[in-house]
Amino acid sequence: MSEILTITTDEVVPDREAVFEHQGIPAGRAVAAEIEALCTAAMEVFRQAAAPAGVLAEISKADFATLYKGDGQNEDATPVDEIYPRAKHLALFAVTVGEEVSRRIADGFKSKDFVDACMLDSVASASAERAVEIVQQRFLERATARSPAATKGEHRRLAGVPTGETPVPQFSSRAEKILDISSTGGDRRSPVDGVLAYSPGYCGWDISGQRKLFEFLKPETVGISLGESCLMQPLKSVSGVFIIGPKAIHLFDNCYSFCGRCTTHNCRDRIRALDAGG
Amino acid sequence: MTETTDAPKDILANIAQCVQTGKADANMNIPMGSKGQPGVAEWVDQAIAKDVPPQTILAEGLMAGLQVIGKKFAANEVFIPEVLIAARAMHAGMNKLKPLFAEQDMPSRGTFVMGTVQGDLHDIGKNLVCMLLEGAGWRIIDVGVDCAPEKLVAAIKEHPDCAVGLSALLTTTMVAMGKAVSAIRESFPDKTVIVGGAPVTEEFAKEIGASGYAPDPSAAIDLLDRLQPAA
Ligand code: B1M
Repeated sequence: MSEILTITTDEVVPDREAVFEHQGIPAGRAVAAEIEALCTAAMEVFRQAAAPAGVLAEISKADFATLYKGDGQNEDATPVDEIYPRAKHLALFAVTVGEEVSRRIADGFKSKDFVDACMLDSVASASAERAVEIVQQRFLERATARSPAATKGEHRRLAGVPTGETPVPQFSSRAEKILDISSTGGDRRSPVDGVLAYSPGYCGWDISGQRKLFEFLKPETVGISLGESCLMQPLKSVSGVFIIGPKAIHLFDNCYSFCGRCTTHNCRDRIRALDAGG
Repeated sequence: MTETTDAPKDILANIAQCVQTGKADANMNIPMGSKGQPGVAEWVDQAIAKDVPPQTILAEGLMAGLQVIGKKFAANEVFIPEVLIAARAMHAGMNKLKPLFAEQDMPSRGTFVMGTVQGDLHDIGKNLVCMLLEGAGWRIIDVGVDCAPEKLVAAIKEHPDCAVGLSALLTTTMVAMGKAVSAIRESFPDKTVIVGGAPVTEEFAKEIGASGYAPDPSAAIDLLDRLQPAA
């Protein structure tokens, strides 16, 4: 059953750095005062126009296995193929910042107000990503409140570390750190579950996977629809699956067949962020 | 800014400089604290008053300024907002020049029909390409997003000497890009059609029969110079 989520505009107003990243400005780079001012103005327009909404539906591994196959167009091997079987909880999601923001962006472009329209576009993109983080964190908190944190032993099992052995080499010291499973003994409970979102269109999950995802989740209830080319309307929307499990299940090397074509490699940042929190 | 003698070459240098800093007119406070100082519009007025030919103002003032920004963008020295601010400043100057050119005399490098392919609603990349090509002297016919092949073909029929640009951001709409190129080739086998967008590659461009691939707007300008050299 899909659950409609309440998301407030305040929650999804993005950080300036995230907006600047969408403007192609590398992190840490000094930004001119006039560009800061443009960003402030765009944030204000965004606050007036945004109507964030979301929908979430927990899904069993069996159902997800079928859904993930989609129309059979995924790459032969994908990270999600290996991650979800070791997960503790799965949920499909879709979030949007609403139609009005996209309309204002389009109007800006039409009237050739490119400077402001483009900044608003970046605010909206960063906000859609922020909405994913908000919903993801809520799902993690709720799921961990429902089921007690796994023991170290359970984590080792879910992360693929055989009982009584030190962590497998491919996880190396990074996994030991993230999982805190370097010692074999003990059954201490350890809050090391992590959540990451994976979306159709990324990491070998073909974008046509949107069709099955939409059939199951029904994001139309919050005003998100899917076009023939699998593009969502409103444009500033994101869909995917949240996967909760020991953080180490999310670790993968970027050496899949499609990684060579990827221009962002932001899976690395996402995995690093797991280290830090979530 | 170039020190203000009223020699035409200094005025042109000031126009180019103001385009680069995005100083469209005296009213604009970009760069911060510059309100009241002359911008592109005022310098163009001065150039006109000094009888500098409008073509020279366009080429050696406005376009020269935007070209510097285009190159800096390709070299990651400036980013999207600076390009857009510079393009806006350039437009302030173009608006002053337009009445001086009889419609057909407006100098142009050629006509460029540009659209995002069917099923794809992304327009930021397309708009950037259009703006920088305009800065390089191309007359832009922007056919918008979600363009069916028929719409592109109709625009080409209206502008038979044009070059064409197609943008796509989704792998699903790369198929539509292939269809668009085929439809164009059917009616205009020798048409220059260049393609770009995040998932598009050189190989893909070859595969679908496009004339070339450009990863960014500056590369698009260079590619068009190669494929369709200026007369
Ligand atoms: C004619 O000659 C030329 C020459 C050069 C040309 C040219 C033509 N056209 C473009 N260029 C070139 O010049 C421009 C300037 O340098 C460049 O134009 P671009 O348009 O590429 O660049 C713009 C200036 C800035 N770039 C952008 O605006 C897009 C950036 C990326 C990161 C991106 C963003 C920001 C977003 N997204 Co998403 N997004 C991605 C993008 C990844 C990427 N690295 O590009 C892409 C497009 N998204 C993708 C996906 C999958 C999705 N996104 C989604 C959502 C989002 C956000 C909302 C978070 C946000 C906004 C998107 C929007 N439409 O407004 C979803 C779809 C949204 C929808 N409505 O359906 C979703 C489906 C994810 C999901 N399941 O929810 C991918 C599509 C992959 C595919 N297989 O089709 C994607 C390529 C990311 C990836 N996998 O790497 C060049 O490409």
